[in-house]
Amino acid sequence: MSLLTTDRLSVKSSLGVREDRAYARDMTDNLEDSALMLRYQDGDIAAFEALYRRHNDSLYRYLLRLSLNHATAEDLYQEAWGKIINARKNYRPTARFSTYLFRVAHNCFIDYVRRNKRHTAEIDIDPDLSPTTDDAPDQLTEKRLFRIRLNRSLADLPEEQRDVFLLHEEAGLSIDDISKVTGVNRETTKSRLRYAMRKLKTALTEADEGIV
Amino acid sequence: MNAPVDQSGSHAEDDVIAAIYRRTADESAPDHLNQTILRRARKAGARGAAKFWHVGWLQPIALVAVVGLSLTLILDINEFVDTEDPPAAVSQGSNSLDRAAAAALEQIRSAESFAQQNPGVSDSTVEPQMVKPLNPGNVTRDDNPQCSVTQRSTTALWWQCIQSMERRGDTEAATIEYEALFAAYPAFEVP
Repeated sequence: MSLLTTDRLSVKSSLGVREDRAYARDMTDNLEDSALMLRYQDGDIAAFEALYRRHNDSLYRYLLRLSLNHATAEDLYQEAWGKIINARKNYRPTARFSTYLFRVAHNCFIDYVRRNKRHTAEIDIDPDLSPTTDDAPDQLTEKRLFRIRLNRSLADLPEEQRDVFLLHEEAGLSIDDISKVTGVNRETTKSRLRYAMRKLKTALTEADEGIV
Repeated sequence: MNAPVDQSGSHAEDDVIAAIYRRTADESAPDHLNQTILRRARKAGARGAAKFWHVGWLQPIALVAVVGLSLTLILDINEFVDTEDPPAAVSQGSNSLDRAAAAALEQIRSAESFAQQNPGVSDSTVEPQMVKPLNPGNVTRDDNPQCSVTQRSTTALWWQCIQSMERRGDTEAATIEYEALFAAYPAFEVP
């Protein structure tokens, strides 16, 4: 009797723990970024994990296409997240967390460019890097070609226009937020984004009319 | 009418570019980077928690230690003050002794100056005789002031003592001392 009861209890308790964990995860998933960061400030690691899952891929792509270099992007990515972790005690939810995160990453890139005077926009990105979807082989090939074209088109853009375009697309920032991140006025940001869009459209549509 | 059409047209083009971008740029952060960052975040969080726990223990312990040390110090000071009292009494005693010695010294100096002023009066001219006690047993020092043994040691001091008695108005005592002086030093001449 006792063994059976113990087994039932253990199964029940393990299910309870799983349910609790799932519930806690749902709770953290529903929280806003700022709330998660404040929780992490108080030592809640799960809150940081949820926050990280929301922004890791977009931040990685932003740095990858801004630096156009795989190794540099990895270094800057680690540096940016390291700064977020180290400065967690000083974090104040005065703006959106994504604005804060991408401003840190943007500043890391600016510092990197200043440190490395010979930094050029030469592409060193593997087009087969970490695909997220289970595409068919022919779709993968098509996507690979488009990635190469996209990377070339972005590399042809001036750094400022590329930065504004990536902040708009990857971080989902508004013109005002991009102005805050880059430290330039609203009109300049707007015109940079417009020029970037126009040039990319020309480059991509000329390359392949079919995909548009 | 053209402007809205142009704007919507440019918005549509922007949307197309954005769609192409999102479809093409779909890389995810490498796993090794994810693990590195999350490990770092956990480490920092755990360190922060450990610090918090450490401080949480330290503060009350430090408070108790400070209070304990303060009490010990206060008790020690109290004990020290208690044992300080007898030496204070001793010092008071020594002060009274000092005062008596200073008074005696002053008397000696004044006698010397008196002797210098009255060269005729000297011990060599008189012969010392036994001094009889004045009314022994009946007269106490407090009731009837008289010259001390030191003052009676020389004629000059004794005479000075008698004069001071007269100045104070103790004429009776001065007369007794005067008779005693002449009894002890019959050859004494009044200056």
